[in-house]
Amino acid sequence: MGGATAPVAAGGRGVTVPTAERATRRREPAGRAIEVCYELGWTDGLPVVPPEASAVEAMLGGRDPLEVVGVVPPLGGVATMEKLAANAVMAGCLPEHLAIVVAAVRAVCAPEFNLAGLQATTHVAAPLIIVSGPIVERLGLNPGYGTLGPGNRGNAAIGRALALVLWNLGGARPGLTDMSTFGQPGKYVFCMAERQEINPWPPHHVRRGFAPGDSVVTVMGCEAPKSIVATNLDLAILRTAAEMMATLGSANVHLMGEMLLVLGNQHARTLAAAGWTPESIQRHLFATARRRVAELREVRTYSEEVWRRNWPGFVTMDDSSTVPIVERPEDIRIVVAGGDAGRFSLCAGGWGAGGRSVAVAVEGEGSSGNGDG
Amino acid sequence: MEMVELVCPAAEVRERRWERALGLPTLEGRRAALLSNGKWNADALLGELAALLQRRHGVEVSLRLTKQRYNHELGPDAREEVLAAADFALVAIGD
Repeated sequence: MGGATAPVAAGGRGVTVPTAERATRRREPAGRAIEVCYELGWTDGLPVVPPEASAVEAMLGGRDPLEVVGVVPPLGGVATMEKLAANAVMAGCLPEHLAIVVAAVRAVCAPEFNLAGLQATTHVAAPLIIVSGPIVERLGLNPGYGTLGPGNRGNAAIGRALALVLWNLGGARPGLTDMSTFGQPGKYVFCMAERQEINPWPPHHVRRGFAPGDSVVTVMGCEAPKSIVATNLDLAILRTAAEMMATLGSANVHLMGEMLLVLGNQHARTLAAAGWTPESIQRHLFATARRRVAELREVRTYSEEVWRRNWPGFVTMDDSSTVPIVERPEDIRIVVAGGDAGRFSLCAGGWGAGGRSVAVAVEGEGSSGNGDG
Repeated sequence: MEMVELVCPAAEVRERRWERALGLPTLEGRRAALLSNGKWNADALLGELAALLQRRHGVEVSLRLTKQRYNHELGPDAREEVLAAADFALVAIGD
């Protein structure tokens, strides 16, 4: 850098930086352990199972406690296996759940997921865990009625474990580092499973390049899911879904990103019977879930410069041009889940093009370990 | 009293000493790089600040870089570009 006079020296200062060391331990009265977790800021408001050393050791099950799974932004806490085990204990996980938690942490720590942005954004998005493959049945996860609701220890504890990792290692603090204007319930627990037994098509993870026998965790930063009620006619389902996806208040039409479509059993069966496939559904929704440029100009949520940077090149800036919700049809991610009753599906927008969903194979479950991420 | 041993689930941290960047002795006639995150309010603040510095100190805006997307990093070459073209850089936060 140029300059006619010498720079001014500035004093140094001490800061704390995360390290990958064995976890510190502390002895506390057993009767106060839950309160101690609150006092130390180890929980986000809900009570937790105190992470007793014996339980953490059992959770580890012989894994190397210092194996580093990732670095969790924005704080940059190092996710050693021991730290993940401690958070899994607090969430109520069983030892067999830990591999799913580890895969979820690997997914959110992948650069393309952009967890630093997701943790800090003013947007409402939270990371949603989608578990697919044989492990869903083997561990008794709930892909059916209430897959996103209460009632199943695996769904609840796995989702809770990731939330606690983001809290304890990522340092997500509302109003300080987590600037989400409102937050959302998914920041406590946000985990579902794919219901392959009723899925008329290959599972989500196979369409991402994994082998059918793999068990895979996909994590996507997304808004709270919106209900799609539609009669069981294929074009009615798709028309209704398109309307729900292309709302002016969603970040998608302005910034693109991804869109999650969770098809319920009745809708999936109806669509499959009419000859639809996930790929043809993606193409149809890409073509129909749109807003006109003129409508977006009326609300002026973003500047034209931002739109130009984010919209696909085929969108002209003419008022009559239409804007899709994603850049490419395959960015509409389709999963089949939920109970048998009800003419319902769900959609959940991403958080603009801030990050992309990432899929990671659960170690020791299947063989390929590949996928498109 | 029964005691339990708890394993800390939070980040382990260590104290480390950092040196702050050297400051400029004066802003007079210096070159500024504006690093925009592409957000309306942030850009408004950045523009006003640049205009103020120009009026008061004759600061010239020699470089303006805008993120492709506001929640992504600026780009791998940004640091070198700033070092080559400017004496200091300005950023703004506004949502």
